[in-house]
Amino acid sequence: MNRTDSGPGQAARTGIRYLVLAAVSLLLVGPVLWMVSASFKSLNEILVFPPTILPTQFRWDNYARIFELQPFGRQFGNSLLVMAAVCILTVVLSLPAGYALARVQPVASSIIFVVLLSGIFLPPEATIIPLFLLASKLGWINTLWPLIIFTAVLTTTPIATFIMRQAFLTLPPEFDEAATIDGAGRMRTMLQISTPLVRPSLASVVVISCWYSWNQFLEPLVYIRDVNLLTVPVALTRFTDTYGQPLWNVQMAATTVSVLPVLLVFFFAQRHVVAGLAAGGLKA
Amino acid sequence: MVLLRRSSLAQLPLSLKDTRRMTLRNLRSRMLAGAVAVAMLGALAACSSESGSDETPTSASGDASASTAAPSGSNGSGVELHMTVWTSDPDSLAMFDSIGKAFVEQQPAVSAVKFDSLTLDQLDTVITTGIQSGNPPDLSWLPVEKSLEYIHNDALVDLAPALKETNGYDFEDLVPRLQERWTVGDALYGVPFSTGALVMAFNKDLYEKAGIKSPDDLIAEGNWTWDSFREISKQLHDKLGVTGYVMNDFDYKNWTRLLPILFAYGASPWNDDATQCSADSPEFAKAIQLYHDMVYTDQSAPLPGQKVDFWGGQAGATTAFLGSMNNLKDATFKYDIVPTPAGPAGDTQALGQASIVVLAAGKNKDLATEFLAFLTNKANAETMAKFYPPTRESLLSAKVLVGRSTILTEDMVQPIVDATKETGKIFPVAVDDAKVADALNRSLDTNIWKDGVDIPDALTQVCADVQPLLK
Amino acid sequence: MNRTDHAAVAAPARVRPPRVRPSSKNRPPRDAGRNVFGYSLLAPGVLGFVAVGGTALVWVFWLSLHSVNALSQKKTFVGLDNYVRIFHDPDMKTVFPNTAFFVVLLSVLGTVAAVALAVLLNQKLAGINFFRSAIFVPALVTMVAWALVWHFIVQPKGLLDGITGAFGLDPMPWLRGGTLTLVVFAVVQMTKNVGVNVIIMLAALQSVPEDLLEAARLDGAGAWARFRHIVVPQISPAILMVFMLMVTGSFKVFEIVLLMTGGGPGVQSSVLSFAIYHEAFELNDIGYASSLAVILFLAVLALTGIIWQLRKRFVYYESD
Repeated sequence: MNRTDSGPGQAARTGIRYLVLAAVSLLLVGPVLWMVSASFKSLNEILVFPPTILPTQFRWDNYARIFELQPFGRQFGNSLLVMAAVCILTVVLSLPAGYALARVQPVASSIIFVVLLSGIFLPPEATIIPLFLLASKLGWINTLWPLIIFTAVLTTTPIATFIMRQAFLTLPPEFDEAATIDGAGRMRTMLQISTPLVRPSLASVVVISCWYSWNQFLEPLVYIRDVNLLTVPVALTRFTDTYGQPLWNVQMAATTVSVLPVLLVFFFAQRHVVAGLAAGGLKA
Repeated sequence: MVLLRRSSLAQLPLSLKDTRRMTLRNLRSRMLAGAVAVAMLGALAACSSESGSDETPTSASGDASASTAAPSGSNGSGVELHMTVWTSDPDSLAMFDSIGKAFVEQQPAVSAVKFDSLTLDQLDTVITTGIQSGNPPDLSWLPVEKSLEYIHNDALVDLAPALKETNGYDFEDLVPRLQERWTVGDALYGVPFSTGALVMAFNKDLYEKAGIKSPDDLIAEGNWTWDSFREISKQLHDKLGVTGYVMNDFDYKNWTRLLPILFAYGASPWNDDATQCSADSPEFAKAIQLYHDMVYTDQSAPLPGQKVDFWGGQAGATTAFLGSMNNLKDATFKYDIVPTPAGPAGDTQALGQASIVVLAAGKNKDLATEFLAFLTNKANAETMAKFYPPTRESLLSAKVLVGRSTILTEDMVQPIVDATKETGKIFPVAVDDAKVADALNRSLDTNIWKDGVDIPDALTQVCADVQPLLK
Repeated sequence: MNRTDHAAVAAPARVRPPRVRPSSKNRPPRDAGRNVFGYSLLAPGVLGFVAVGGTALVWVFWLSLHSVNALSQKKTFVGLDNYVRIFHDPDMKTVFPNTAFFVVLLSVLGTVAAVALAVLLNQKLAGINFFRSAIFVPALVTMVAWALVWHFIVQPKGLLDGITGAFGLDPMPWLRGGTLTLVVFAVVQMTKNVGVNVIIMLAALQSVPEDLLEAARLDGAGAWARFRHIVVPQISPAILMVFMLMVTGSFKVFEIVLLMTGGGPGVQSSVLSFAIYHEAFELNDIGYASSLAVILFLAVLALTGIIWQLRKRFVYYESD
C-alpha cells in the first residue's frame, strides 16, 4: 500500500513501524540467538541466575560431543531422506489430482474434493494408534516407511492437492482447449502446458511437504526405536548422559547444528525464497 | 539420491511424448515410475533397519566341544537373540556384547545376541508392539516397577527350573530378600542384575565455604537425620544462595525419588499388597511436609521446573543411584558419598532394581532362558557387578562394587552395602504400575507442589486419585 | 461445490482479469474419456488416501469399542464404555477446554497477526528485507528445537525471569499451569509459525492490483476503507489458507506440551492430542485412547464443516 502522506506525522509513523518491527524481530530471532549462545556454555553457566548473555568461555567441545553421543550425521541423513521421499511422493500424487479436480472435473469430483479436503484437517494424532498397529502388522516399526508413506499419503498430499487445484483453477479455461485443439494429448497438456504455469505453486507444495516432514515429531517418536534410524527432531531430545540426564548444552549445540544448514541455505537464497514465495508461489 | 530424483522426474515427460490417448494402464505405469523411485528411496532407508527376524527353527543345543566349529558370525544359520536394554553407555554395551559372543561360542544354535538400546520410557511400547507384530525381543531388562504388571499378565517365563538345573549356577547364592518382587511361590520371573540404593552425594567445597556442618560432621555426631539435613541445607542456601538439595532425576515427575525420605518416615503410597492407598497417612504427610518445607519455606530445594545441576557444582547435595555417581568423574569439587539420612522409622535405604527377564511371547524361549542363565551365572554376574550392583551374596561386597571405579572407595561403599543387605527396602510396586505411578505423580504435582498447601488435606485428594487404580 | 465455482475463479479481479471470460459454457462437455482421464489422475492420491485413512478410521473406531490389554493381547468388547468414561473423566474437564482454547486463539489471533505483520512488511521501508527474513527465521527451526529453547527461556529463574526481574517483577510460574501456561504455549506456537503465514499473506498482498487501489484512492477512499473493501476481499483466499493452516497447526501444540510440561501439573496444560498419545503410548490404554482419537476426529470434522461454510461466505472468489 503506497502512502503519499508526508511531514512529521509520517516520520513518527515510520518510527513506530520500525519499533514494532524491531520488537517482533527480537521476539522471533532472540530465542535463536540465545540457543546459539547457550550451545557454547558449560552446563553450569546455562543454569546460572541471572543468566549470562554471552558465554564466559566458548566451549567448542559441546559440538564435538554431539557426534560422540549419537550418530547425529546419520540421523541428519535420515531426515533428509524422509524429506526428499515425502516431497517427491507428494508432488507425484498431488499434481495430477489437483489438475483433475480443477480442470478435468470428472463426475463427482466435488465429492472427491471434499473427501480430500477433510484430510487437511485430519490430525495425525487421531490416526496414530491404528497406523501404529498397521505399521507393526506390516513390519514397518523401526523403519522409515511409515514416516514416508503415511505422511505423504495422509497428510501432505491432501493439502498439496488443494494448493494445486487452486493454482490450476487460476488458469483461463481456453488454455487446455487451445492446446487440445493443437493436438496435444491430455496428459501432455497437463504436464507440458499447464504445469509450467503453476510452477510457483508447485514450489510451495515442495516447500510445505519438505517443511512438514522435516518437522515430524510424533511419528518418529512412535515408529522409530533404533537410534540409527531416528530423524533429527526426536534425536534432539535424546542428548543425555549415560544415566539419562539431559545434557542441555550439547542439546543446544545439536539444535544449532540442525538449524544451521537450513538457515545458511535460507540466507544465501533468502532473496529468492522470499521473493519467489512472494511472487505468487503461495498464493492460495 | 540426486540420481534417483533426476531419473524419476525425467521419466514423466519422456514417456509422454508418444502417447496421445491415455489409457488407465499406461498412466498407471507412469505413476508407478514415480512410486518406484520413492520406493527405492524407502528401500534405502529400510536397509539400515536390519530388523533381523530369524525364523530358523532352533536346533537342540549341541555339546560344547562343537562350538569351535560353529559359525559365530551373524551370517550363521542359528537364531539371533534380541535383548532390549536402556543404556547407551558404550562401555556397558561392550561388556554385554562380549558376554553375548562368549555364549555364541558355546551354543551353536545361536548365531548372535543383539543388544538393542532404547530409553526406559519406550520399553513398554516396544515390548507390546513386538508382541503385537509377533516379533518381540527375546529378553529384556525390566524395572522392578513393572514386575507385578508383567507377571500378572503372564508375559514372563518362569526361570527357576532352568536356573536350578544349570550346572554351577549356584541358585542359592541369589539373596532371597532381593528377589522377592520377582518371586511367586517357587517361580522366579526375573533375575535382578542391578539393585542399587539411592545414596547421597554432597559437595564438600560448598559446605566448607559456608563454614557449616557437613553431612560427614552430622554422621560423626550420630545426628544423620532428614531434619538435621534440612537444617544444614537451609544454612547453605542462606549463606551462599546456592541450592541445598536437588533430587537427581526427580523433576517433580518421578515419585520414587522421594522414597529415601518416605521410607525414613515409614511411609509408602500404598500397603504391602498394593490394594489400599496410604498416601494420606500421617507418616506420608510428615515426609512430604519436610521436602515441601525445603522447597517453599527454606527455598533450599529447586522449584518445579527449575533445573539445577549438582554434578556441575550448583547444589550442596543430591540423592541418586550409585551408578549415577560416575557423573562425578568430571567434578571440579571435592565430594563424599554417604547413605541417605535416617528418620523416625530408623535407618533405611530405598533400593531401585532392574531384572533380566525372558518374554513369554518370544519365539526362542528356551535358548533365551539358556542365555539368561549364562549371563547371570557367577562369573558373568561378577563382570556385570562392575557396572551394576549385584544381588548375589558372594558378590555383595564393597570391594566388588568399587571395582575399578575412580570415584568410589570401599570406605564410602561399605555402609551402603550393609544397608542393601540388611535395612534396604525395594521400591513399592503396584499391579497397574504405569497408571498408578502416573496418577500419583500428577496428583502430587497438582495438589502438593505449590506454595501454601495444607499437606494432610491435599494428600486426601491424592489418595482419592490413586485409590481407584489400585486392585 | 458446483460447476459454477470453476468459472467464478476467473472473477474480474484475479491476476489475469482482462483475458478471462467468466463463463463455463466453453468448457467441453464431460465425456467418458474425460472421466477416465480424470479418475486416473485422481486414483493414486485418492485411493491411497482413502485406503490408509479409511483403514485408520475404521480401525480406531473399532478399537474404541474395546478394552485392550496390550501386554497380554486381550481385547474385550465393551461397547460405548470408553466414551462414557470420557464424560466421567475429571481430567477431560481440563483437556477439552484447553484444546478449544488453542484452536480458537491460535487460528483467530494467528491469522490476524499474520495479516497485520504482512501489511507492515509490505511497506517500502529501508531495510525491510532484513525484517522479512527475521520473521521467517523461527519457521526454519524445527518445532522441537523451538520448544527446547523456549523451555529454557521460561524455566524458573531462567532468561524470562531474568528479564522481568530487571523490571522489578517477581519470578512468574510460567509453566505451573493455569491460563499463564496456556498463553506461554500459544506464544511459542505462534512465534514459530507466524513467518510462513506472513509470507503467504505478503504474496497475496503483492498481487493486489495496484490500479484498483489507485482508483479507490482517487475516489477518496481512506487507508482503512481501501484495506477493508479492496485488500481484504482480494487476499481472502490467502486468509482462508492461513486460517486453515492455523487450525490444523493448533493441534500441533502436542509437541510443546510433551517437551515443556508433559501436560502437568496434573493435566492442567494437557490437550486432546497429548492425552491421546499419553494414554496410548505411555499408559498403554489403547481402547480409551482410541475413543479420544475418535472424538478428536469428530471435532475436526465439525470444524471442517464450519470452515467450509465460512469459505463460501467470506472468500471472495468462491462466491460472487
